[in-house]
Amino acid sequence: MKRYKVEVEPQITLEFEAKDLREAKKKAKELKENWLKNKPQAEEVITVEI
Amino acid sequence: MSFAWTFPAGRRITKTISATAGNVVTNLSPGTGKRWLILRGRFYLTTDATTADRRIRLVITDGTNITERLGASHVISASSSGYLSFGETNVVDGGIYGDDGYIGTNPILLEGNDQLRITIDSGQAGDQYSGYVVLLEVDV
Repeated sequence: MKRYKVEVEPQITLEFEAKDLREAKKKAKELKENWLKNKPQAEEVITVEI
Repeated sequence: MSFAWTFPAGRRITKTISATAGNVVTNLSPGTGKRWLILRGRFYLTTDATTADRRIRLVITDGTNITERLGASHVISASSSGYLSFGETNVVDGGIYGDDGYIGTNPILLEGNDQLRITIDSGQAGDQYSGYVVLLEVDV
């Protein structure tokens, strides 16, 4: 297994292991997609006036 | 005649670590022309059923070499969860209630290729960690 890295957003990279470049590219794509999908969204809180 | 402003200007930024598998390492790095003063952060790990003693570990590198080990959480075992925080608080016993570790530190200066590295000891593909890092970014 070799170590690879992928930039998932500016200033943030993820490092992971894969057996070859082909597997690394596939995994890097999954990691980037998951990173963007799992990014927490701020919960909307609405101020009410009484 | 010219003047130089010497106060710590810059932008306050919160970096979000998305849910990431435990066997993947996350590196935060200011990059060329930027300098960071890392102020505080908090990380959350949930583990799968695989038997192993995990720890959330924080390391500083120069991009290649480890230049400092900040510290790590207590052990977080299988099928459980835990937090690790770091920041400027001087923690006393009991002061980390709700977390599995606290690293008291002064603001950490990173520049260029320097990295704040978040890694999970014995991290598994089925584990997940996430978190936040608060920093001040300055152009250099």
